[in-house]
Amino acid sequence: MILVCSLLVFMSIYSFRRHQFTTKRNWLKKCFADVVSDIILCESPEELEVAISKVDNNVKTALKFRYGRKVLLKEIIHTKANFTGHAADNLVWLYERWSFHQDSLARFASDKWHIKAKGIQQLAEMRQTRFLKRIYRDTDHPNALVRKEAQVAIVQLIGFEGLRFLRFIQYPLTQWQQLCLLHQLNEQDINVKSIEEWLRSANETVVEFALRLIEKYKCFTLQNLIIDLLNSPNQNIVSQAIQTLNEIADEDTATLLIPYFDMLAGIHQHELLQIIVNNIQPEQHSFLLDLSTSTDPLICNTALKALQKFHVQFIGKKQRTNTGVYLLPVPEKDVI
Amino acid sequence: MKILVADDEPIMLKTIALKLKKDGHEVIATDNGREAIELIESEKPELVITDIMMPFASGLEIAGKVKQSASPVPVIILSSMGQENVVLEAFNLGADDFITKPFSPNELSVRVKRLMVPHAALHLT
Repeated sequence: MILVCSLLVFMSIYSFRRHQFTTKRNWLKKCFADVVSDIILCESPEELEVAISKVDNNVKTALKFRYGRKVLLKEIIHTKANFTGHAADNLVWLYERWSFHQDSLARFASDKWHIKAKGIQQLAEMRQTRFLKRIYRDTDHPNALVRKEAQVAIVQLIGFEGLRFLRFIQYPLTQWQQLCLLHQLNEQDINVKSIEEWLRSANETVVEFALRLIEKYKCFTLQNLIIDLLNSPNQNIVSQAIQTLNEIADEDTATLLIPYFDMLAGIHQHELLQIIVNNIQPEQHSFLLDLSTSTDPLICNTALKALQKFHVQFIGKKQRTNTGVYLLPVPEKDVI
Repeated sequence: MKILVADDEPIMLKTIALKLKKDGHEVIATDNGREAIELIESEKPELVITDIMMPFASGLEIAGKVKQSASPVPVIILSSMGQENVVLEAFNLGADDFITKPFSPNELSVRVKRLMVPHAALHLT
C-alpha cells in the first residue's frame, strides 16, 4: 500500500514537473519566435541593430538563465537549418551577438562525450571557423562520436581542404562516417595529389574512403593506382576499388584489368568481368572465347553474352567489308 | 491576397507570416493541421502554404482537402530534404508548388508572386 502510494506521489510530482517544464519551454519558444523572425527578415546591418534593440524584457531576462539560453540556442540552430542566404547569415549574427558561441564552447570543453559532440555540432552549424584549430585536434579523438562530429565539422567549415586529417588519423573511418563526410562535400576544388596520398595510407579505411572520393569526383588519372589495389588483402578495399573502376572506366580499362581476372575469386571476379565486358575492345575477343568454356556458369554466361554483343558490334561490321573474317560461335539464345 | 500559413514550428510560422505581411498580403497563421482545414473552410484563403509534418492533420491532407473543395486554391508545400516521395504524393493530390527547406524567405515571396498571377487572371475571367 505504502509502495503504491509512494509511486503515485512520485508519478504526480514527475508529471507536474514535466508539465511545468513543457509549459515554460513553449512560453520561451513563443517569446523568442517574435525576436528571431524579426532578425531573420532583416536586410541590412542597420535593420539588425534596430531589431535587436526592440527585444522585450522577457527575452532579456531569459537570456540571463541557463535554461532560457539553452532553449534559445536550440531554436536558433534548428531554425538556421531551415533557411539559406541572408536569413541564415542573420541567425549566425544573432548567435555571435548574444555570445552563444561561449555556450557551445562550454559544451565542447565537457568531459562527457555526448555533450562535447553536441558542442562541436553547434560550432560547425553556426560557421565558427575561428575555432577550427580546436575542433581539428579532435578529429582523431578516442571516442567515435566525438571524432565523427569533429571530422564532419571540419569538412562542413572548410570543405575538401579539411580532409587533411586523413593524413594522420589512426582510428578507422566507419562506413557511415565515410558517407557523412561525402555528404558534406560539394562540387568544389579537389586536390588529386592528396587523394593519391590517401590511397597509400596505412589506415585501410582511409584508402577505402579515398576510393569513394575518386568515384565521386571521377579522378580518371588515378586509374592505375586503383588497379594496384585489386591485390589488397582487405576485401573491402578490393570491393570498393572495383566499384570505383566501374565508375571511371574508359577504353583502356579492359586491357588493364584482364591480367587481374585470375587473381580474384568469387563475387569480385564476377564484378571485374562485368567491367571488362562493358569496356571490351576488339583485340580482347580471345579472352572472352577462353571464358566461354569456363566451368563457372555465371562467367560462361557473361562471356557468351558479351561475345554475342561483340559480334554484332565489331565482327558484324567487319564481315560486311571483309568476307574472310573469322566467325565466332554465337549462340542464338543465352546458354543459361 | 489572403494567405493561410500552416507550420507547427513557431519561428518558421512567424517568419513566413511576417515576410508575407511585409509583401502586402493578409495572413492567417496556424500551427496545426486540423485548425488549418477549419480555417480553409471558414476564411476562404486564396493561397495555402503548408508544412508536410503537422500535428492532427498532415500537409498532404490539407492539400487534398483544398483540392477537393468546390473552389480549389493554389497550395505550396514546404518540405525537408529527403521527402521527395511525399512531395510527389502532394503533386498527385494537386499541390501547385513546393519549397524545400532550407530556403530563402525571398524565394518564398517569388513563388507566391508566381502563383498569384495565373490565379488572379482566372478570377478576372
